[in-house]
Amino acid sequence: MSWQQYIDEQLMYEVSPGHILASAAIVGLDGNVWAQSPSFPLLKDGEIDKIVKGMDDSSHIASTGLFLGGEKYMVIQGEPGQVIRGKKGPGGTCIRKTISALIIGIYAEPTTPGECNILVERLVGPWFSEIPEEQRITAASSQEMKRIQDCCHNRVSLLSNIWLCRVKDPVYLFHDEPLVDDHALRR
Amino acid sequence: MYGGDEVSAIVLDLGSHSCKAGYAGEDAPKAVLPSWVGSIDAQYLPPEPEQPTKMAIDGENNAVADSKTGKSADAAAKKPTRKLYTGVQAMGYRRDYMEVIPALKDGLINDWEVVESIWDHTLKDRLMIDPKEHPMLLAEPSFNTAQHREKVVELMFEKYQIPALFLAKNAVLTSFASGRATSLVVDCGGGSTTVAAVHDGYVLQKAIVRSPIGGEFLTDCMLKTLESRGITMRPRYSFKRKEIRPGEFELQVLDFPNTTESYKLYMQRAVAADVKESVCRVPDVLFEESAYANIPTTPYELPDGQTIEVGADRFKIPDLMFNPSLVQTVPGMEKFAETGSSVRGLPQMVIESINKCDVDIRRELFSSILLAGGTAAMQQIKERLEKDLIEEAPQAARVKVLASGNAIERRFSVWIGGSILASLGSFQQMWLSKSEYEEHGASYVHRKCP
Repeated sequence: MSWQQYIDEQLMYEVSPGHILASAAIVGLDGNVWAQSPSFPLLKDGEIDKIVKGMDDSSHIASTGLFLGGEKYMVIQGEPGQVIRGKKGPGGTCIRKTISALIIGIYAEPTTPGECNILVERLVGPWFSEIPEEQRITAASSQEMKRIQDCCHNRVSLLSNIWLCRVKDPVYLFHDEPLVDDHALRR
Repeated sequence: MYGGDEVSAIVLDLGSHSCKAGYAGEDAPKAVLPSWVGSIDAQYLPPEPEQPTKMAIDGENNAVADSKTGKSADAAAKKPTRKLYTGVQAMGYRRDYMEVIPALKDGLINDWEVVESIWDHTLKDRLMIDPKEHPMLLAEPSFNTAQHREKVVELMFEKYQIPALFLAKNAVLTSFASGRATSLVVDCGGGSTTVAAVHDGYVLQKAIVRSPIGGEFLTDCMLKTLESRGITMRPRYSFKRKEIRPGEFELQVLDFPNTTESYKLYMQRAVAADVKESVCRVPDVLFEESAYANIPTTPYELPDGQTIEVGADRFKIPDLMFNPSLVQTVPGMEKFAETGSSVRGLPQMVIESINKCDVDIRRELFSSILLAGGTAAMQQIKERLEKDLIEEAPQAARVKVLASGNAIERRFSVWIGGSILASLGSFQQMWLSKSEYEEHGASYVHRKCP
């Protein structure tokens, strides 16, 4: 699955009539845009840098503002090290950090902040530490990886808190280790 | 997604001083009870008699009783560690060895058993509803931690089996109650004072400033001040007044040696709180002993018949909010002297909070400062805060402090905001439903209720 597919199928997904993100993008931590939706604003120099720095401690961007393509957002409650959320009038943004990229979703009325958070954050699934020990399976060999890729096709499916992600090379994009749903392998 | 049926939501606001609960859409909470419970330790409880399986009245009870026969033996063998007494009536009755335990500590939930007991009492005894039928809107502190939120969500869905839930921050609800999406909320509560900036309906997390000076702190100061003046603060249970002649009463002091210190203090504070609420006024300028040395005193009749005269203390106690270093002059509160020096007054907290916000919204925040909370119902607080802020704020800023004229509205502004929010049509899609909780777990609350 290409990055553009992630944008088109997963992020720009219509939750209910009229409730869809205004724009979305997956941007590398260095500032390179990997894929974006058509209306995603053109990012200016240094914006991504500031966001990455602000992930762990957002005090600086909270007082100066979170900028995306020149548009200013007010920083509201996020999750240190993982998520920054911003608000701008009735719309806003949710930015999720992964190991090598930022997933950015921008929403406007009537989409709710909760919906934007869910769309952006579910792409990465629950944080690895949330999954109980017994349910974590890590793929050790390339053969196992092939089996995973074969059975999950092109969809991201949710089964009781475990996300099945189709991963692209390099393998470790979203998590420290790939996550597998036990049922999918047995099928 | 929970569709939001015709059944109205319940709004529940657990604060450090009192727990407010009621139906959404109403203009005041139906149930207001103290956020403390009385607790008697197991060793003082009378031993539980061996209970035989009860004879059922109807078939339904019989089935339940039967399934429990296996467990009743264990239950009788396992003694409860303590017995909790919740609610105004239960706590008003003096019991031997009953300690008073607060539900919240530093504004956050400390003892989950106590909180469960308070919610049980509120929902089942006071509101008399079945939690399974009503979505719940819970007010949470603006600085609530992720852990606390998840625990609340878990407790509500697992124990009370509610159909849907939403957690809203106190500052946001106060902002809604006044009809504003952006404001600076100054919440002078019982346990502490919190200043938080709300922008477009969301709290700017980095701009929250807190101070431990709240209503209870002021009550303590009042209590210590009166005691240092030689007045005995008799709690209500410790005396009886007999009418010997029409209009004349004789005081009879009762002695209950097994009353705990915490209960005695709790009851004394209740008396001191009433004194504080009746006579205290915020002074127009910074309090100075010399300036108020000769002001006329105000009389106040204590429940035991004593009439006391409160003079300069009327103004000194409320000024602690504006000038915390005054605490050093209050007899008996010396241990707070160090904390008093690091804590700032209300105007300084407001300026600090606004300075932590984005430059663009500072002007808007200065012109919409909201006062909320029980302690904010004190007389003249709005005028004094406005005056102090005009002096300290940058010249260009237009300072406006808004507060509802009604003391009830100031005290319950968080609850009222919740009532308004839960009745909005556009809010119904935002509930965190039981099925979403079961599918995604408690951590889903961070996304749905940002």
